[in-house]
Amino acid sequence: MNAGPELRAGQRVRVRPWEPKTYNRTPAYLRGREGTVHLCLGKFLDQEKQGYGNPGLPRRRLYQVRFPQTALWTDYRGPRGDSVIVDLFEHWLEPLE
Amino acid sequence: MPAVHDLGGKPTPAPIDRKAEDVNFFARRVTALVTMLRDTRLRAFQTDEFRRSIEGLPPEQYLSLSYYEKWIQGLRRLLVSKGVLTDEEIEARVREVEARLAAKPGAPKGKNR
Repeated sequence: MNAGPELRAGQRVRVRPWEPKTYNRTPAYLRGREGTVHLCLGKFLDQEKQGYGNPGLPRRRLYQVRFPQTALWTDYRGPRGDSVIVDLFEHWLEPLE
Repeated sequence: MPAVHDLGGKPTPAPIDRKAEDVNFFARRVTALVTMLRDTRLRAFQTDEFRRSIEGLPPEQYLSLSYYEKWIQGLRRLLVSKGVLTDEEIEARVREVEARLAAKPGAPKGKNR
């Protein structure tokens, strides 16, 4: 999958609602959820390939994406401004703007 | 349906136990074994292969084992799948060690097989 240009901080994204049976590190609770790009961490070896003993090339961009807790959990009892920042590889992110 | 290890957001029957794992002698040995096989010249596997092996343990095993028990079972599964060791070799060695310990009075019983 071609990743396109680098996403910018503040850009709205949706986590792809994929449910692959193969190895990946995208938590189930984020699939299909919307968040905001916090930071691009740079390019990293592809763990989805490394899981199978592959060197993990080409490298993929890894982003920190911020999700409001109240959007993830309907019964969230913490302060309203709380958020969680999760590292996600670029091919999991669909830009919304 | 998320895999067994993907627990985020799932209800729990009891409050989450936030105590750190007891780093006992067994834990240290398992860590040494994994580190030696992965990070020295041996490079028998990469971190994500090891994680994939642990996450692929049978669900009932994944949910009942302690942290380092998951490590040793995940390591075993990985080394067998990569052809480094066979189940027969491991079982034969375990029987050998058990026999040696049984012959030694007062020796600990092999629990973390």
